[in-house]
Amino acid sequence: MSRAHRIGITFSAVGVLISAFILGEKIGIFPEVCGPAWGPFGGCKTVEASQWSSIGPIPIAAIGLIGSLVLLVAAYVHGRTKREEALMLWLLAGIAGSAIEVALILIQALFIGEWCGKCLLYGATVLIGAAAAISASLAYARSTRA
Amino acid sequence: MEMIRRAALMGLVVGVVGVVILFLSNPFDSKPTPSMTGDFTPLAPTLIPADGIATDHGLGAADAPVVLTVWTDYQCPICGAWANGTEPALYERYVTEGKLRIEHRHYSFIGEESFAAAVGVECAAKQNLFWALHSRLYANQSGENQGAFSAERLRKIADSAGVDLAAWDTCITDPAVRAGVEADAEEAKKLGITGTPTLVLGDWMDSGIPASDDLYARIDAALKK
Repeated sequence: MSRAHRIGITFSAVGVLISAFILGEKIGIFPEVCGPAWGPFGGCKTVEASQWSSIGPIPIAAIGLIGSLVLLVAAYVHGRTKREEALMLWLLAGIAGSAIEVALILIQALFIGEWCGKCLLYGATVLIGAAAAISASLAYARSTRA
Repeated sequence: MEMIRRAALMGLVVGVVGVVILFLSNPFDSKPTPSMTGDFTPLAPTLIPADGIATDHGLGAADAPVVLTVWTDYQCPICGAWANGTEPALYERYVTEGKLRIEHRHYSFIGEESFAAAVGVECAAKQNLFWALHSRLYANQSGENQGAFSAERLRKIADSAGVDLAAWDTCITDPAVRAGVEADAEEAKKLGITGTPTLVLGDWMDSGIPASDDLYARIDAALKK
């Protein structure tokens, strides 16, 4: 398994944990973690209570959880089996997730005016996972060209 | 290589579609958006309390057993959700019963319009019209730092709140009023407040709008003390 796979798997696993925790907070399973102690990144509650924290009845955290699970499974399967379909799914999910994460980060900056530290950490896992997918894809392209 | 290119392109398309869906499905307030043009007519406030309930900078009996302090910024959309959603619910459930008083404090930080709005409200308060202007500002929010609380629009909103405009015009230029609003913001920072709305109930402090059940449970617990 390459370093890109290990990085992708590790960060996607962290993403699964963070998004599951945020979802748990949202539905009341876990206590709120965040607040003034997080300094400028303590606006989690404001961000999570905002109109941007869901698409219709579906919390964004639930979509993030599914997205990170897809990234995790695809990275793992491609790392183990080298199946092309897994790499394609990994890359597709990574790029799609990155586009949405960038939008969500901009929404915090431009529309909500507060930063949610946990949400930013989650965003970082998606962006790093996507970078790992791109790296693995380029390595695959080089190997098939050779 | 072709498959990778196709997967990357599909990922980009899926991402863009996701962002578009996020914006389209965004459950904006069902209340009409106030006009930003010159013929602006202020919208009426969501909550019009019964006579005598809105006093000074708060809502509810001065001797209510529980006092909830709310730090807000007039441009903050979540504060708008508080003012137009949660607060009317608390009004019906606790304030009218004489169990709760909601005190408002300014934590203006989003931009100059936040300070101008807070100064305007302080000047309305000098005419015992704090609530009249405060509640109208939240009914007339429209974006941040985009002119919703420009001098001209603030004056129109103040007029609709029944403020004596001659006295108000003089008051809003008083540096002492502005200094008071800035001092409020400094006090908020000293208390460790990082965002709005921030609620303070006894020794409990939290930012954002808590789940209704959680908030009711805290108020009920405070009432039992």
